[in-house]
Amino acid sequence: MKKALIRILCLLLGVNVFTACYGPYRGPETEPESEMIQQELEALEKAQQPQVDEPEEEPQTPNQE
Amino acid sequence: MFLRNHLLKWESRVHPLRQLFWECTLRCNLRCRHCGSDCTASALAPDMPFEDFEKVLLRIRETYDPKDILIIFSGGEPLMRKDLASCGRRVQELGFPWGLVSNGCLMTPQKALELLKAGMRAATISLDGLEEEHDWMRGVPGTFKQADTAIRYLASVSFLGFDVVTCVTQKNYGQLNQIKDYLIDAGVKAWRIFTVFPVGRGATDPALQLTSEQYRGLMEFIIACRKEGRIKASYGCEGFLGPYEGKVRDHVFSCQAGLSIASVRIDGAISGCTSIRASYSQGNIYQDDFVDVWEHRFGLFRDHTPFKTGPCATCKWWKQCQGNGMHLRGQDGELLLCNLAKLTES
Repeated sequence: MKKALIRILCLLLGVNVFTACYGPYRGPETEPESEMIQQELEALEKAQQPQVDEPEEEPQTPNQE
Repeated sequence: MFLRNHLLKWESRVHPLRQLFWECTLRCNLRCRHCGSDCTASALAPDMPFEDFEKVLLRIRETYDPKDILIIFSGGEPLMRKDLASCGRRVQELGFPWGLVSNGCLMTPQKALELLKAGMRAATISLDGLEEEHDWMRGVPGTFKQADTAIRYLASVSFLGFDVVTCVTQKNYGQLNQIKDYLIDAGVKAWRIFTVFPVGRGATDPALQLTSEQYRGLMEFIIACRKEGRIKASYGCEGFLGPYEGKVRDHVFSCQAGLSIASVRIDGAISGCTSIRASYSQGNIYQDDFVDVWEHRFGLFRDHTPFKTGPCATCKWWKQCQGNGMHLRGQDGELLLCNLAKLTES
């Protein structure tokens, strides 16, 4: 609670205690193993898997009985 | 202003560590014109073994809450390290969030996914223009296409703190609007803009320096972008901006090196950020305890009074500026660049 108040105060006063400098800024504060992240990772992984084509059916020859 | 200065004094006293850069390699696959570190494909300094940095992290988590400290892999080009994903996985296991700064050339979708699965939660990709200008700046043809692939992929990941960083020079100043449109089209939400500071390879190249008029134009461009609201543009931490303070960033300027930002350099040196001259190193992980150094050294980083000399001695902006960014100081403390002077000269 105290930390949150300091954070809000810093933002209001424009002191960049909690923002990035040269490096990347923090992502949304989610738990690293949250369900949302796991689901999105699974979707990203699936999107990268090579598409397996359905085997084409053998064309029937006209004389086949 | 009183409250802000009071808060900065508090921050100086408490110095809550929030970002720790790890200069994990000096090897780089590009030869960028503006590089501040003069790194090469086969850097003389070997990569730091992860085990050495891990000892620092283990020590840090004994004292501080690791989830409050973002570990940033920087270089060189961090993706030159083959073990980066396993380093990241271990950093995550230790409870730290982590991210990286990359030129994007090796950030294929496969590599990006590997890093995301290893816990990467923040990333910055550099992009210095559209195809011709970016490739010119980076010194290798084809790099724009690779950065484009990385940018589009990372921008699509909702849980990643992602931004693109652009160095504005004479070469790309005229195409800022096109770069902005490209980034919006690529799905980028945050765009950090900076200008060359006079250190490293870019120090002597006039093609990289903006005129004062262009510098003011750049500030006006950022203000216009922020008003427009299609992309969150901001100016990097390149120093105090006088009349533009509060207009081009989410915060007003204060150099956070040594207040909330530290770095472990390739040779183990402990410093504020990786852009600061080596003479300001405060210790070395191979000889000193990191936490002890962070708690008890960094005096000059937390009190800039010794910098109140030369042009700063009589400057009416001293209280707000506090001697500009630490990376804009030469090894003897001399001011290498006053952004305010550049912005206000005719």
